[in-house]
Amino acid sequence: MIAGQKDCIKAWMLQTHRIDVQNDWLQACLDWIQEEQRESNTVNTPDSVKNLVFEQWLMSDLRELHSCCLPDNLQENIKATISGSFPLQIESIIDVGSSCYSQLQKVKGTENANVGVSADTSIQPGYWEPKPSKMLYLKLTDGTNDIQAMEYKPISSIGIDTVLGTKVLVHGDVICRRGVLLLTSDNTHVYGGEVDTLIEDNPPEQLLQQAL
Amino acid sequence: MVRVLNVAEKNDAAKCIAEVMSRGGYRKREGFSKFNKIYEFDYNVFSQNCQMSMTSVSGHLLGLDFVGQYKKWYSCNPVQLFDIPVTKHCPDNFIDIKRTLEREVKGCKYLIVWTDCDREGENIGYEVIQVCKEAKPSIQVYRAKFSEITPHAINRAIQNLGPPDKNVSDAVDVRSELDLRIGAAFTRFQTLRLQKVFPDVLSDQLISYGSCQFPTLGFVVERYKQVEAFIPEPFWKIKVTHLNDEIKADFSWKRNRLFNHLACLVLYEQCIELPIATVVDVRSKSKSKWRPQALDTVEMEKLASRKLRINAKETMKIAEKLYTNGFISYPRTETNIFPKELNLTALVEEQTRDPNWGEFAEGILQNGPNPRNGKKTDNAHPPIHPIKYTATLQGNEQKVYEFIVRHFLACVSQDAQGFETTVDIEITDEKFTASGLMIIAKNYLEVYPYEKWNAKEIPVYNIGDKFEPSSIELISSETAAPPLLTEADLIALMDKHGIGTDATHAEHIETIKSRSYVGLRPDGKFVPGHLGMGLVEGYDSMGYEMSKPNLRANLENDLKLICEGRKDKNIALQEQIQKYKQVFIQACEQAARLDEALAQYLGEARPFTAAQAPMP
Ligand SMILES: [Mg+2]
Repeated sequence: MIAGQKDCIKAWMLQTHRIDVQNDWLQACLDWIQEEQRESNTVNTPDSVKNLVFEQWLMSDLRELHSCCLPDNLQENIKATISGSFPLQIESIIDVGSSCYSQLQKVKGTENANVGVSADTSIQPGYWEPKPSKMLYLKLTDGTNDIQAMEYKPISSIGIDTVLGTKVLVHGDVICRRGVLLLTSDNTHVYGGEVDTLIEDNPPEQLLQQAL
Repeated sequence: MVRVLNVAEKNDAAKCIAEVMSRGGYRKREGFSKFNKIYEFDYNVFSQNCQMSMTSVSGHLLGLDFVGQYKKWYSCNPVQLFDIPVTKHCPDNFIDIKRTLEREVKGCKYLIVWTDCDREGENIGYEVIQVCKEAKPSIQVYRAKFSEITPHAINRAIQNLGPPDKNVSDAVDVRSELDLRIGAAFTRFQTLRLQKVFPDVLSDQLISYGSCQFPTLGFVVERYKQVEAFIPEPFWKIKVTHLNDEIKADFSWKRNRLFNHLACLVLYEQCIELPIATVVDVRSKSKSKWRPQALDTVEMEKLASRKLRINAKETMKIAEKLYTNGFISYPRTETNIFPKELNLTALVEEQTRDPNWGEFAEGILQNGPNPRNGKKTDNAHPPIHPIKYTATLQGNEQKVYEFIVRHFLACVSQDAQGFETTVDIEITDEKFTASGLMIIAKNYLEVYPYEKWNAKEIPVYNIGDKFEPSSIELISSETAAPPLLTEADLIALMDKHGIGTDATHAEHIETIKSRSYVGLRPDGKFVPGHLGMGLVEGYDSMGYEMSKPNLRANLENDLKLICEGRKDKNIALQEQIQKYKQVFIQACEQAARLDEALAQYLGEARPFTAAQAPMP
């Protein structure tokens, strides 16, 4: 693999996806792609190599990459604004708009409509649990620093069933209060991807059970 | 003169019908039963002047039981009870009534059946017919159909005499045969077993099972467990108030509440950093509060239980009495649509005499009654309504009568009218809403104290206004478990799942209370007892969900089809017997699960061996 190609891809990742990949990882990644190519007897075009690198990045665990982009000590400020582009990995997602108990019942399939039956017709069915307003609360990492985030304004591309390890780009001037990023659809872009171990270690039922 | 035998369902009804037909001029005579008199008068019917004898039964005249020795508990293996022949017979305490009918019918050419016009009434009518035909095969039989005991209704019934409805009676036969077989098989099985397994606790106890009472118990256990399993969680919300010219507005947060303190704190701090509210929208619209729908039995039971604190069984007993005394229409009805031909004006007029609601009734007459109808009809009876004015009642009878009158007057009057103003504000992008209500016309609420509508004044706002709220608070609270069932809730569940009928809800609830399967707390909430919990858990653990409503709801549906002539009585009966028999066999095979479940509540289970099974 020629040195020029590596620099070219590093620049492409930064320009196109605003991801600053480390040289070690990129080298290992390119070696692996070359190996695969030799085994399967195929030829990759420069463009397909770029895309394969990006795909590898999506499927990697940023913690193993030891990547780092967030400023330190954000938690210590009541209010701060971070500016720039921050590729982050979703470590956990819960909906803080409704109780864990009700979400757990939904996940387990043990909801029972009878619980909402009342003879008092002036109150709505299920009145004892008011209609929830969804708000996702996420734990994110840049690979080194952990940070929390809330769905400050609705983001349709992230849901409670978004797979863990999904990579997102938080960009622009983003308000961070007490270490919580205020996410909106304007400052949050979803790349996709996943991390197998995160998914395996955190089934939704268990996450909710722990939160209870 | 041609003689006609008339038979009503109860002595009270016989007396009132005789009184209406004879305009008070009947002669009273004794029958063999001292509770069921004979009222005699002349009446023009069948195009001639006839001598009428009006007597009564006391509900069902015949009972169903297994033949011969199978009535005895140890006579057979309970599973055989699904197949052993059954027969109708007259219980000893009703023999005198039967003898009266047999004697009176002899000299008569016609029999007119005046039993209540519902399923049970039709079946009781056929029992009367059976007894009378055995005594006098040539008797000609007619059915009188009526929903209230008034001259008008009785007269119309006489003008429209027809044949009794065999389909409806058949449905009751199917129901009672199934109740007998299912009830006897399960009751004997579980009683005999559990008395041996828990001799210290249950040695003398009858542990009954009924295909309605068990799902009813199941609802109580289910809700209790939902409450027990509930885990409270803290939540936080932001509350904003604004006091202006001594008028206060409470603004509630559009996000409602959050289950994460930090998330809520962050948003709260953002608000108090720049605590200026901007009015982003003000909407006003007229709003009505709907008057109640025409009253059916289930609604009456629920409302009496909730608003008058009179339980369903007592309510039905009182309503029954008010009906036989001619004060109200027939109280067992699924109809909540007033028929067009009913003269509502006359009924309202009747109530203008009352010092409390008379004036309101007068008011209705000015624009004419305007009933709010529902969507249900049983094609037999109108909604429950008052017929005759009375001020002579006392205690609970008075309360139930007053409730029926007020509900009726409310139903035929006008919705309450109001004007609602909703104000939306924003504080640093967080949205809050407050609303005020001005009541323009109370209308039906004037006569219906069982419902409230509270006016709420808020300051005047205009879009674009900015103001500093009087307070912005971060408040914390905790989720609460759903409430335990009240009697009214339980009836709502039975109704929803088709357990029992409007006529039987109250009885099933009484049964599970009297068996100590459930208890009623002083606050009116049902809790399961140990026995009730154990039984439901035991059967549930077998996986057949016998405490769940599906099986019984399917049976009730079959009964409806039989009534409508869309399903054959014998086919339905055989299908249902086979279904329940299978469930029974499987329950017996897994009986140990019942022991295990009950042992959690009643202490150690003694081993039950086949040798202890007392029958082949
Ligand atoms: Mg009756």
